[in-house]
Amino acid sequence: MNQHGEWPELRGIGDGIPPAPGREIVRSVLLRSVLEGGVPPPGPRPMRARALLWAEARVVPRAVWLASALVMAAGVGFVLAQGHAAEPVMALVVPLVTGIGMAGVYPPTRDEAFEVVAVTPTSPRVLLLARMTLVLGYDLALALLASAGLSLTASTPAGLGRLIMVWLGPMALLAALGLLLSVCWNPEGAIGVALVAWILYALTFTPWSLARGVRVFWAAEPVTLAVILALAAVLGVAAVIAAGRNEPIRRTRATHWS
Amino acid sequence: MAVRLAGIGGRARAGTPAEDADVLARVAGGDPVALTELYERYAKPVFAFLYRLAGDRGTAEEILQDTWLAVWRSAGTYQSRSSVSTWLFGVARRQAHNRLRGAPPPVAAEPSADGTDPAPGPEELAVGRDRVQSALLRLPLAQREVVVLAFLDDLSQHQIAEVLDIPVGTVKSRLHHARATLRECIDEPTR
Repeated sequence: MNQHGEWPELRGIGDGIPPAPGREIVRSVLLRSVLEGGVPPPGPRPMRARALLWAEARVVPRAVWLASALVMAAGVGFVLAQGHAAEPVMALVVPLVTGIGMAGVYPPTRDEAFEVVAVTPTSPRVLLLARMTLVLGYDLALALLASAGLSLTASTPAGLGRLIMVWLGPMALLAALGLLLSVCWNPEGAIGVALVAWILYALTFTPWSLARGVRVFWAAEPVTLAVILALAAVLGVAAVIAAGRNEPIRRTRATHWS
Repeated sequence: MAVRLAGIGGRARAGTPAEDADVLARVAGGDPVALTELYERYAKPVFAFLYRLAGDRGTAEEILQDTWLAVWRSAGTYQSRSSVSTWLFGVARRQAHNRLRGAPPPVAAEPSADGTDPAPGPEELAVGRDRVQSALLRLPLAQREVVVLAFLDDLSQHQIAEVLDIPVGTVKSRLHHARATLRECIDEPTR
């Protein structure tokens, strides 16, 4: 649309334009992209999620996987060897494994590769969710596998469904409690509290009346289970929210005073 | 419909639409070499467009960098509904709006209080350029971008409508109002 003749005030609009910056500007663009973050890498979301889970699985200490499997195997072995009823054993073993496992899953500052992870744009919340998915999923799979195996024996007269209900509530509650304390406080403290909660529960299996009130959290009734799962969900969400804070509670004054 | 880039700022090494689409696809795949290649093809016309839009070199360079960052991040959203060049100008225009919206226009060269030009000497050679820039800076951003695309990049009204994602009627309307404003500039008594 060349109408310069009708627009004399724009005559010479193409004159005197400075040259465009050189190609080095592309390097600045790439640097900004890395530093500013917030943009997912190319690829479909499920593929990125799978890649993140795979990457995190390699970072989570192997001891977490190994200890969970060993303790679960020991519980199953005990039931099979002693001919004991599976419900109380699984109700003790599964929450213990998951509660301690989840308490130890955070923070990423304990990872050997933390320095590398820290410069990536992936947020702490996403990392926490990925680890929750991995560890909780792994422990859940182990517990379901063990329960299914035990249900095939004569040690679960009430059936597989009842066996799962026995451990599902305590497992979710201890896992969420451990996770929240790990995020807001520190992993050692979280493991300690999870252990104390578990011991209180274990004592309810004894003739002692001490801490008998704790047993309500382990009741395998549907309504109680629903309440416990809801409470666990609230604690889990709180943990995820807390993980996104710039300065964890345990690190007050970690940054300079302004 | 590909932007022809026939204007003075458009003498770039732009490839065919198919080649451009291939380069952009490689950018979407995370290839930084392709991003550089795209830059070498289109930096000149896009920078000229931004320079006339922003009114100063520094701001134009900042918007150019913003534009290529946006291209790097959003190349995967390109769906071949328009040519790469049209899409690229659309991205540049959005980045310019982000940066320039609400910002006061840069002060054009004005005579000093005693009537002497504050930039004498070689700047005299740039009188024509300053005159154009002063005129452009009197226009609202929405009219300025239409005028620049029309007269610097020699785009048709249909092409401008595609770049700006507005109806052709709006292009015509903006050109009409821009022309009226520029005529007022000419009619104003010189100081």
